[in-house]
Amino acid sequence: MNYLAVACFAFFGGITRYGISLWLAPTHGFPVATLVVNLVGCFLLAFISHYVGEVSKLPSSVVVGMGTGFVGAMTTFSTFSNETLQMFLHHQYGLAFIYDGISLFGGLLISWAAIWLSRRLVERRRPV
Amino acid sequence: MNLLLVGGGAMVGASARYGISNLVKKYILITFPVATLVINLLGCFLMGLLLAQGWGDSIWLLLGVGALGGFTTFSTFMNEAAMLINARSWGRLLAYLVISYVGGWSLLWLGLQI
Repeated sequence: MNYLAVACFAFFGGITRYGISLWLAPTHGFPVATLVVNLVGCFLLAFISHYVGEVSKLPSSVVVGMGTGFVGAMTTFSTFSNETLQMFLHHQYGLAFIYDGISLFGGLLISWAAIWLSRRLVERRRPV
Repeated sequence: MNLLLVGGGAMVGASARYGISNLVKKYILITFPVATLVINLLGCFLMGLLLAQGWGDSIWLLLGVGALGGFTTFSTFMNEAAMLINARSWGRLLAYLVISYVGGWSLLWLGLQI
């Protein structure tokens, strides 16, 4: 059941990433679309695993589908690495440095903050 | 049609990711996110191999954007890294980030060369 949920949600995660890549063209060689899906995905995954999964009454297969399926498929590491490699091969080292720096520190910060926020929200719902 | 190719590929890629992470959770009991690391590095290598073939747009949408895009993940990678920050596991955090980044480019490049 979980596999079915992961696959079905992943269908929409994949086309969301593709749709955003068509909508947000690279600006001055900067892959805005991948950056946006990856950073938004960091927030959503943390929120789904640490808040929705804790407090909602949704079946666990739906929670796994939303997190691992939808968000997991919406974000991507292979395209990100390929974009960085292409920048290296075109000697755009500054661009690669900025892209990877924003992805790394932005991703870490957003994930960390979203986990913190989700845990606070869960605590608030449980009277001490 | 393009949406079906990407979505169909992502269904297969994400299921494979879920399967691998379940297998790893079952058999490997260490506090390092091995599953995501293996998935992301393998995905980069396969992406390199795929790019080197120069197959047409439909194959690229199905396998590159869909399957490999859905197989590899950035959100899980960063969430696991944030959990290593929470656990104050600085050495593991640094190792995870460096191996993922440098390994990703290197294996992609290797895939392109073969």
